[in-house]
Amino acid sequence: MREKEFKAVFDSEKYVISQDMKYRVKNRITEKTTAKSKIPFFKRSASAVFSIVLASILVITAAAVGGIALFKSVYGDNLEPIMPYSEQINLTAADANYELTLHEAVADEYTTAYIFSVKRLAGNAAEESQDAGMFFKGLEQTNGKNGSYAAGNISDLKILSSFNAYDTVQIQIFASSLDSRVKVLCTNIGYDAENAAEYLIRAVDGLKTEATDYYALYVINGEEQTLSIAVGAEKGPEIALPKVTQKAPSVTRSVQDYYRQYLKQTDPMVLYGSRRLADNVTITPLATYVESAKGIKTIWASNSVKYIDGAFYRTAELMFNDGTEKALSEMSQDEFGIIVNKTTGVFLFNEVLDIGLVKSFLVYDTVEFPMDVNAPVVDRETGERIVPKYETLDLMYDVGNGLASYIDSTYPADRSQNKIYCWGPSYLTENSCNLNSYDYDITMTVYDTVEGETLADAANRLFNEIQTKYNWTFSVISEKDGTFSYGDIRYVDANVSVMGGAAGEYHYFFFESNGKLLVLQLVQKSDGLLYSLDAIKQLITFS
Amino acid sequence: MSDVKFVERAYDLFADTVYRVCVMYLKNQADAEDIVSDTFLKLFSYGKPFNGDDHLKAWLIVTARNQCKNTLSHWWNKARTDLDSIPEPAAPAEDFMALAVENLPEIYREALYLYYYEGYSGQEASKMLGITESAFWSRLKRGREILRLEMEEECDERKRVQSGI
Repeated sequence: MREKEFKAVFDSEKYVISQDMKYRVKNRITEKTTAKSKIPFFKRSASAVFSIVLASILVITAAAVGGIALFKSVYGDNLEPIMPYSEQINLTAADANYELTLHEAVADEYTTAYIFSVKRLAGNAAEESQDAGMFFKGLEQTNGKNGSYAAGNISDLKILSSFNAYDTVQIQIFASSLDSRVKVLCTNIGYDAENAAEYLIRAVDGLKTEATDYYALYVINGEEQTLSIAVGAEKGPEIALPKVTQKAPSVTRSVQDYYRQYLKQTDPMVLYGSRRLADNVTITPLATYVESAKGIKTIWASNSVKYIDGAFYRTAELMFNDGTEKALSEMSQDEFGIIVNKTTGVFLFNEVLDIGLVKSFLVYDTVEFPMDVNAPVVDRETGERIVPKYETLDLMYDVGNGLASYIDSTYPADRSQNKIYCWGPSYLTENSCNLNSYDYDITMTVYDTVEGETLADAANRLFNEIQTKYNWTFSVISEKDGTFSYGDIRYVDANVSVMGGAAGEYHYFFFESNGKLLVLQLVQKSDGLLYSLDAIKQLITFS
Repeated sequence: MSDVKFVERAYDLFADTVYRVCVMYLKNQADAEDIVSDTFLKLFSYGKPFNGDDHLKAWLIVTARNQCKNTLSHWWNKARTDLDSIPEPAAPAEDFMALAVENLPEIYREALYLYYYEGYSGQEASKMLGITESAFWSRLKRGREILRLEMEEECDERKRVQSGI
């Protein structure tokens, strides 16, 4: 690689901030920091304000329009914490059959909730809707690729199944009831490519009258397109959904390092690679959002809604300043969180939360994450502070993950297209793990080093121990020393016979990292094209 | 919470660096502008002291990087293709390195950037990226290799074009 040319890229016009932009951004920063220095965000305790500011997710925009009332049927009587972030809309459109009214909206950073109603005026429309109590997710976006959505088996509503992925004129995102009565529309977009939002709708039974149905619509994901709601089998009244600029504040807490440390002591085998754990938790007055890089596991699905699985979530509670606690499930609609996409989920609250009153987020009944990020995370049961430490499990995770990603990246593009060929680590014991390679069984084991022992001596000792332990007999084909990114390494290529019979070729790599001795064992498991062994050998400069 | 003047000084010193980091991750100037602003606002909210300007610079780079990654992994950005990020169909020869750098997977691009452009040691850069030093060296090696291959292919292509094959 030509270093000078490489550096020049970052000195090119694209990477240099223009004076105009520099000045503009500086003004923006000065303006905001000066304002923050003078005016507190909320009339709340200093520690709460400090924690929210440190979390840096706090969003407050323009002054309230306020005056909302219908949301009481969704969230209960106390709407106070969301009043500044709500809007009374009251837009109506009608034809001979229906009168459609958009009443109110409220938003946090990720979700906008609307309340709208449909009044039946004439003809078939006058018949009572069967939608009461329904709760459905609007679409399976990925299914749009082939030009059709999978229609849910929902007795009283359907998801449109005639969507043309290349039709950029108007897309009906979902419809309820057999006559496609209520729809959310998105206009002029290539849907699958550009729209990552998710939509949920729920009938609000508490507001229902003889001729009028009320609905709460949740647009989750920060919808960027202009949506509209419409009613009627064909073209009926339609109202564009206004964006709500005021966003309710939120607090984000990174939780992974701490529960990881806790689980090391209590349940180390579930630690990594699990889709039942969160990395980050964001709490807003309307919901708790969870993110997990490893994905989120479904416990069950109903009406196209997938619900979140995992003890982490089932035990999650909010602790309040007054000493009370409330389970996340207890605070959430339908008691469970909903999977928004592969790595994120949301627990939509059934009551409005004043996040200034939340002291901590608690999981497994004992791991307490204070909202004040300066306060220590504690194991409530023992009273001890939880401090993340780098231990054998972390070492296995780092080395294993790095190796798995590296091996995966060496597979030829035509083979690795849309497929992972090496992933992991998955834990076997507290000091060994498996990397799931396509062509090799790869086991990594971590041992303590013995003071004064050279790598060669340690390798010989462990090699003998493996033979004795498993009653295997090795005939060494080759033994090489070299160096790679972790330092010195010894590679042993051996034929193994078990109980007198040939059991195949085994490959061992011995090296040290973080004061531990690591052994990598590769055993071929497919007769096809082989890459993993070569990939690891390519990392080594043999002497 | 930091002092307003402290933030302004930090901005004067390191706005260029933070912006460069943001463009490197986000590949477009408009989003980068927002993250630059957010990063210095985070600095304002940050309550702890720094051990000199080097420490401050490293903190800003790491914070900007995290902000960018958050932005990129944000739900609504995942499925969005930014017009600025779509490579031009035929890059002029002199821009080829820029294109190759941009197309480099993020984990390699950031390793190369910190090491070659910012001049951090492997130990420092690995700390900033939150990975082990050995993982950093692996990434650096792999990134270099990809760039080298890309450049070699381009040279071959140019030779073919020049010789009329």
